[in-house]
Amino acid sequence: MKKERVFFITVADKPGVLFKITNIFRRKNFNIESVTVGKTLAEDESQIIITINADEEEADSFARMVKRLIDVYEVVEAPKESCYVQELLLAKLEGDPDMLQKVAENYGAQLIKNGSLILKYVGEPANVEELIKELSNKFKIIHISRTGITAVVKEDGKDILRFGR
Amino acid sequence: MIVMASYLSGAQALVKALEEEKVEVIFGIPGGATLPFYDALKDSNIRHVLARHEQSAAHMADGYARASGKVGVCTATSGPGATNLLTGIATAYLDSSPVVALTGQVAKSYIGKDAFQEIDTVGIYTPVVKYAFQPLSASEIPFDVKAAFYIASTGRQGPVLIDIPKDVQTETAEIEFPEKVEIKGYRPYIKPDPEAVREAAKLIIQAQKPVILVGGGAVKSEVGPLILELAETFMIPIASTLMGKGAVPENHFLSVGPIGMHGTYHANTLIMESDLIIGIGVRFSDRTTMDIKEFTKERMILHFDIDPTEARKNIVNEFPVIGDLKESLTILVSEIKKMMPYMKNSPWHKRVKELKDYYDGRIFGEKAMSPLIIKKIREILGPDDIVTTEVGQAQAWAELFYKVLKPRTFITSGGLGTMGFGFPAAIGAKVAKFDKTVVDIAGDGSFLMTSNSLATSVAEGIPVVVVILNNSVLGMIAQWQRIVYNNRYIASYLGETPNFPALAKAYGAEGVRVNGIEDFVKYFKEAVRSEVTYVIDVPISPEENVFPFVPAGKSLREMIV
Repeated sequence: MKKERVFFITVADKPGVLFKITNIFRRKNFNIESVTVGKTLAEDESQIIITINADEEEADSFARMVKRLIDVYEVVEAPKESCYVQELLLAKLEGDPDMLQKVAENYGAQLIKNGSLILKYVGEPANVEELIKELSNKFKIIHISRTGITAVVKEDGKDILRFGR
Repeated sequence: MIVMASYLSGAQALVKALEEEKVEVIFGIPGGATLPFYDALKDSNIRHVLARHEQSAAHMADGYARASGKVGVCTATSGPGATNLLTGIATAYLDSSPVVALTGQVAKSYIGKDAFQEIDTVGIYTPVVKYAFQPLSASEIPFDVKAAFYIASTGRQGPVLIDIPKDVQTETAEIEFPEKVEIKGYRPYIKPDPEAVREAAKLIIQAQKPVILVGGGAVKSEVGPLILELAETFMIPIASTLMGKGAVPENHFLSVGPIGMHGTYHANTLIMESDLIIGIGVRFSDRTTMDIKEFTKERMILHFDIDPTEARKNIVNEFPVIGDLKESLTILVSEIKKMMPYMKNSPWHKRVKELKDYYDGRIFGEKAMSPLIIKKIREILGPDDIVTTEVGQAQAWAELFYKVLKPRTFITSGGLGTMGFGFPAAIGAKVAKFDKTVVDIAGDGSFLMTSNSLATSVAEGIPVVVVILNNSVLGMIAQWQRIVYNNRYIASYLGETPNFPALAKAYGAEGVRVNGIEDFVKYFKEAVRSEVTYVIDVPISPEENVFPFVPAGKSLREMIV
C-alpha cells in the first residue's frame, strides 16, 4: 500500500554520497518529500533521512538499491506511523508582537526578537502546516524555512526493514 | 600497512600503483588531460594498446577481463574521451565485468568552469560504475588505485572509475603505497546461511520437474563442476541465460542450452513445464524470463546469488539464498547427496530427453544459412578458442547454435546489448589469450560501429577473425518490422556498402567474400591458421529470421518458429 515511508540511511560523510542516493529515487521517478542530513555519533558518518510515498515492494527495492552503494553503511526503512517524527519551522513575520506572542504560546512555539520577528516551532509536520495557515491568516509572512522531517523509529514500530551492519 | 614511500609525481605514482596490481596492458587513447600519465607510462613495462575510439578501448578492456578473469584497464582523456568511453563502461556494468577506467580531468582550478574538454565525469559515470574515485592530491592515488582494483574484482564484479585532474598528475609529493586497503561499508564476501541452503535442498528433493538455470555469475565464480554434480545426482536439466553460456559444457547430456527471447525450443518448453527453477548466478532479466507473470506461475523459484540487491528484485515470491556461490553450492551438493537421488528413468527425465533428442541443434526456417555457418565455426574451433559476438541477429544465432564448452570462451554484451562490442572485445580477449583463436560473430550493422578497430588489430599485431553474417540490413530490426510491424520496413536497410573485404584490406588486414558453406569452411580454416586479422564476409538473405523468437510481452511458451 502506498504510504509515507521514512528511510534512515547511515553513510560515509563525504562529497557525492547524497547525490548517489537521491539519484536512485530519481531513476524511478519518485519525488522526495523530505530530506535531512546530520552528523551521527561516529566521526566520519552522517545520517540521511529521506521520506517518500511508496508501497511495500518499492520501499524494499529502494532499501536494497541504496544499501548496495559502497558509501552506505546501513539502511532502515519504516512507515511513518512507526516513527516519532518532528520538524523545525522558522518563520520571519511582520505584525503585532503581542498577538504573535499569543499564537506562539498556543502552539508552544518560541518568539525571537532580534531586529525582526522570528517564530521558532518544533512539532509534527501536520501541526507545522496548521501553524503556517494560521500565521498567514493573521500576519505578513516574510519568509518561512522548514527543515523537513527528522525522526526516530518507535520502540514498538511495525514493518521495519533493516539492511546492513 | 605501508610498503614503501617515494618522492614521485601523481602520474608516476599512478603507473607504479598499476604495476603493483600486476597490470599487463592498458587499452586507451591519450589526450591533453592524460599527457602526464602517458609520459610516466613511457618508463613502464606495461603494454599500451592504442584504440581508435574510446568506446572500443573500454570494450577491449572488458573483453580482456572476461577472457582472463583479471581486471581490464582502459583510459581516456577528459571531456569527449570520457563520454566516448562511457558506453563501454556501461556495457561492463550491466554484465558485471571487472574493468578499471582511468580518465584525465582538467586541473582542479578549472573544474566547474566549463573549461576546454571539461565534463562532470564522476557525475555521468556514477550510475554505471560500482564506485568512482577522484583523487584531489597525488598522495591519494595509490589508495584509490588499490581500492579500485579491489572493488572491481570482488563480490559482484563491475567497473570502477578513477578520474584524475591534470594538476594532480603533475604535482609531486612523498607518496606512500598501501599494501592492503579497507573500505568501510564494503563487505563483498557474504557467507551463505546454511539453514537457507538446507531449506533449498528440501525444495529440490520435493520437486518433480526441476530445472537448473545458470547465469553469468556461475561463469565468473567457476562453479560448473558443482552444478554438474548437483544436476547429475538428480538428473536435472541445465538451462542457461545468454550470459550463463559456458558455465557448464553445452555438450553435456543434461544441458539444454539457453532460455529466453532467443532460447532453444526445448529449454523454453522445459522451463515452462517445470515445477522448480534453481537459479544460480542469474538476475532473471526481462529477455530471459519474458512475461514474468507466466514465468513464475505454477512453479517455485530458488535463487542463489552473491548480490543481496538481486533477492526478490524481479521475482517477488522467490526463495533467495544470498552468498558466495561456491560455498552455497558446496553445502547444497553435500546436503542433496545425503538424500535419495532421482531415478534416471523418471517421467521428467524422459520428457527432457525426448525434447532434447528432437530439438537439440534443430534449425527452424527455410532460408537458414547462418545456423549452418555457426555450427561450422563450432566444429572447426577448439574447446578453448574464444567467440565474441556483436548484438542483434548474429548474437542470437550464436546464442542458439554455438555450443560453448568452457567458461570464459563466449563473450557477448548481454545486459546493455551494445552494438559494436564484439570486435574490440575480441581484440581484448586475444591480448589475454594470445595462443587461442578469437572469432567475432558479427552482423554488418554492428561491425561497422567499431570497424575502425581494424587499425588497432593490424598495427598492434593482434590478429582476430571476424565472420560477418552480411544481410545488408539491421537484421533484428528488419525481423521485428517483418513479423511484429507487418512488413513495414523503415531505416533498416543498409545496402551493399561497404565492400567489407576491401575495407579490411585498406587497413592491412585480410578480407574475403565467400560463396556458400564449403567456401566458408575453406577460408575460415585459412583465417584460423593465419597470423593476420581476417574478415570473412558471408552474404546471407536479408529475410533470414532468428527462430525460435518470443516476441516482447509474450511468455516463453509462445515461440515463433
